[in-house]
Amino acid sequence: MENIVDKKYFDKIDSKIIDEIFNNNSFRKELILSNFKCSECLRFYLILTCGKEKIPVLTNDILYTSRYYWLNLFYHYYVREFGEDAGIEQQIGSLIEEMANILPDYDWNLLETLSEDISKM
Amino acid sequence: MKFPVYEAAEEYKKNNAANDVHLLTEDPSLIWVIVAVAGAVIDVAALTAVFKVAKPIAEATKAFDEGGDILKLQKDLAAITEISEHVKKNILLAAEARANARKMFQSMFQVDGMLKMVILPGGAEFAKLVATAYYIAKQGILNFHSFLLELKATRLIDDIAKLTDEERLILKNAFEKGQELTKADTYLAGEIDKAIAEGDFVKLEKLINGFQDAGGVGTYTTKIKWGIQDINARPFEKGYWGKRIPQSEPRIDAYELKINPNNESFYVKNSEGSFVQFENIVDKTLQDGKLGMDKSSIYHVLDKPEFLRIESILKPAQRQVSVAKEVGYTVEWLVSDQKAVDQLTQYFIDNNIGIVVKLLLE
Repeated sequence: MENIVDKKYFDKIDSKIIDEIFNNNSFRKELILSNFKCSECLRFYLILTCGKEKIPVLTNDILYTSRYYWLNLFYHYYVREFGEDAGIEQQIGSLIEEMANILPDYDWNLLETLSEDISKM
Repeated sequence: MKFPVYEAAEEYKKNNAANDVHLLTEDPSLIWVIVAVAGAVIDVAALTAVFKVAKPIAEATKAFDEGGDILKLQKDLAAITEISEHVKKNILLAAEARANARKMFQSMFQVDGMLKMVILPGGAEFAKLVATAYYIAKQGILNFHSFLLELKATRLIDDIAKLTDEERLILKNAFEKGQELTKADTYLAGEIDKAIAEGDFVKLEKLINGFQDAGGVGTYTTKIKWGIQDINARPFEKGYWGKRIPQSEPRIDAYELKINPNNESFYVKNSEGSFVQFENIVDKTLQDGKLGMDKSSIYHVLDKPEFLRIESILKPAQRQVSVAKEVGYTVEWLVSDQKAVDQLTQYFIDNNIGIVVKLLLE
């Protein structure tokens, strides 16, 4: 999928930066550091969200599309494991609002397609 | 109590001539064990299992009462295979609370050898008394008179009948605060347990007074889980005030602070157990702020593609209305431009969403 950074992208990132992101914030450690299928997706989302100054440069289009993809995929697996969570849904909604503000000309069909693809996984 | 243990004990004794049930049910010092058992069993079969081994349970818990050795109690209970792990766990939790209550008693005796009722509400000794009440409540002792009896049994007070009105009021106040503390979440409970284990009574006082002052902005007594984040929070009415998460966009950040200058958000738990966040609550109205960043604001909802309308407006609105309904609140959106107010109002009417939209300029 173009416009989305895949797992290989995260291999290039220094583990110290990753540790710093995970340890110096209020994100739920039990979700980030566990072995649940959803946790890896959440880690990728957080790296893109909190470490954007420290990771290889991405265009805003790719950065936000990737953030949306990994957060949505995280929630997709999360629901299977733990059930629905209104807070995470709100956070996904906030990300879309942020995207609408930062990227006024964004092609929303892309996000819709991504969302449908994820629901089939 | 979840189950009428004493009535069941009488029935059991009638039906089983040779039994040791009295060792457990007729010893006043083991009331806490009965309370713990009652909290754990859900049917007669489980209770009968307990009665069958009343003697070893009574011996194990009595030994704990005398020596205070929780590891020994754990080992003794582990050897009693006839009762469920749930019953054992409840007895151990009550024993732990009992040990902590005892520690509190001892710390109060250390003041001057014998309490002389010079406890001032809000002071360090009052905090200890609240902590004592907390641990007594955790053992399942839930009425004020039983609390006084416990204080008397440990010689913290001399004669219940001779308490002055003022002394009784202080004790009642401490008892009620202790009861309230049992409703606090595991985070605060853990912090209290830790402070007592470390003998850190200054910290204990802060924790307890912090809990009592839970109306204060910035004084957080608990943690809640909002989506992927842990939020420091304090209970308020039917929700929680929590520390606000700053927005990366400075204008949106400033707009949120305009709605709630206390730098907090308000969180309401839905029936599924997850939290929904709002910017503020005024009386019974939950407020959410929506700042349009430019002329093509996302909140000019009627101009937007369907995916965006549904994901960023309709679904969030439905989620908010649903949780507000559950707790008897209403929802209001504060929006930064008139076009957005008009379009959102129309969109909510069309979709039967009960949210009032108001203008709040940036």
